[in-house]
Amino acid sequence: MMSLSLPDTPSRYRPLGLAATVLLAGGLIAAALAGGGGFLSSVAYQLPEFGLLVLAMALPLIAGGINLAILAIANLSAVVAALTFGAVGDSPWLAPLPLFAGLATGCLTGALIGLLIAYLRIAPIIASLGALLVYTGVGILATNGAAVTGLPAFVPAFAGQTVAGIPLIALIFLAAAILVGVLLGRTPYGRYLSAVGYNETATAYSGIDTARIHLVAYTLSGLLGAVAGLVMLARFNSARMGYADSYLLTTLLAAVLGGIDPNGGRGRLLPLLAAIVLLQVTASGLNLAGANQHFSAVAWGGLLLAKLAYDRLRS
Amino acid sequence: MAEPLRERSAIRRLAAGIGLLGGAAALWVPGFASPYNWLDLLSSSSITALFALGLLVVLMAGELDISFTAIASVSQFLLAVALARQDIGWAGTIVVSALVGLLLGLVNGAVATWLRAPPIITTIALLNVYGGVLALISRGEMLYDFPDFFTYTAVARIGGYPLTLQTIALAVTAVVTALMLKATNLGRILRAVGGNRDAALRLGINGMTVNLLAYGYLGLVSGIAGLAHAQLLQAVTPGSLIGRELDVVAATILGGASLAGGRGGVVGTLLGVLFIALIGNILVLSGVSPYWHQAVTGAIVLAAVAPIAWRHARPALAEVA
Repeated sequence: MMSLSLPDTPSRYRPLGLAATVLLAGGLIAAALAGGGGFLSSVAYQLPEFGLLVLAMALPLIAGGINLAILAIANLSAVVAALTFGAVGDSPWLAPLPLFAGLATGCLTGALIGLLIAYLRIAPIIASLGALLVYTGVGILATNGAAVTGLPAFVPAFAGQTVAGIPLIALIFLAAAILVGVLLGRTPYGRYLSAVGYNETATAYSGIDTARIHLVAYTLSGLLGAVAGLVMLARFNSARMGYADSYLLTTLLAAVLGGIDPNGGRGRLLPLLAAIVLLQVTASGLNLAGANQHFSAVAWGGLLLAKLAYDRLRS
Repeated sequence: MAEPLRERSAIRRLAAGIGLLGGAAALWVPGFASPYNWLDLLSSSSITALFALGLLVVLMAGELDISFTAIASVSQFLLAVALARQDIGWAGTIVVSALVGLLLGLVNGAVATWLRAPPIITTIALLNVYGGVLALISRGEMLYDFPDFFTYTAVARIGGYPLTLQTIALAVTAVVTALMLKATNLGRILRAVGGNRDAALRLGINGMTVNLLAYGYLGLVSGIAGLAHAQLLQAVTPGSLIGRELDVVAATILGGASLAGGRGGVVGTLLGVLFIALIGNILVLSGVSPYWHQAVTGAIVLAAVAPIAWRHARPALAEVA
């Protein structure tokens, strides 16, 4: 087995920095204002879909690319699952079929972007942008732009289930996060992914099939997006193209705050998890405090710029 | 000189596509061949075309800015506020829109260049900041009380057909952009920086200055696009333009520009916008669900980019060898 030794950047060990500290303080103040347990449980229910989308964004970013289509993939997967539920009826025994259809949609749509990038060498922005248009268009065509409803009762019930007081969907997110963390930190693939993000040519010269690294990264990104879509399907009890489109900015923000280098290469799970939790706490706090969505857009955009400026000043 | 060749082939393919599509539509789609349909097509796609021309200059320099719709929204909002207070006339109207756009474009250029992060991430942040601040200040209210001079649809008439403000703005911008890229030193510098930034910087070209010019130009054109849009709709709804930025990127790429920089031209860009607008127009006229438009657009962009990328697809290994 070959060993690839990557540049060890000091920022790996203090990746959150000032911005996160400010966030944490703000989030905790908001939490205190909103008052305790109810607030925390609302965070636990809202976090999984956001966190899964951040993971879906993180893998392409580490490889030096970007996936602009994660929300289209999430919504399309949810739509496919919802339509399959409509076709197979209410029987819980057939429930794996729609789930499988949704997850397969995510893998396929992600893999298609990966193919365009890996083998046709189309720039990730263009590949995922073209795919975004196609997936959104297909999803809207399939649903006439309306929400798909009429799901079996166990679907929304699933979103409310808890295990030992922890929402099941939060556990799903945690499992996905741990798997991604193992993939990044403990497998050769994780090292190759970083290596491709740092310097693809050098990685190819080390005898690594970089095209396959890209393909796997985008397929996994699609799969994670599909899981996020299915979580949204259960939480909203419906599927529609265009749900949660504002997450594009916040997923990028969480990834960058979580220490992923937007130019590719660096990324670890724990700081990413911390950023996801901090952002969701702050977002929920802002929501409870009655801040409107435009205020949030300004705050998130400003925060992203501030974090980029902070990194720039430190480098 | 590979660029002009590639540019020409993009133009040739687009022109052939537009000819085929237009010819077929003229034969089989009722209402398509009417000159009023063409005028309508021109007016409605002129806003997209304006954005695309500005974006072309930024892409040429190897940069990317997707906050132009927010810049246009801010500038048309400030214009509407100014017009409601005072009759500033056409000259004032144009100056206000262009200045607001230019200013925000320069801010984008400075921020994106200094941060050294991928410009798509920086400008997604800027898009949200501009759009959010605008929504907070305007409270989302629609402004529609314009002075008389602003309400005439046709600025002049040629042979009975109206010549609209949108058409004039597009024509002027197209000529200015083409001249700038083809006939000035600035155009050559933009192409050089986009083609190979490191080499250009070593020749003593100041990267920040070039970026300020490129982003500033897109901002200025976006301000004008905001004005043209406000005049077309006779109303300013904050945020009504936002959300169209990726369609503009798609059209510009279809026109032969490249994210890698250094490539593209005015004619190709205009044809790219026209091609996508034509598809939408034909879908609507022939009663097909307009929902097809997005899917078809995305597929066409990918299909157009794939062969170019494929021809240039070197395995990462071959680059040094």
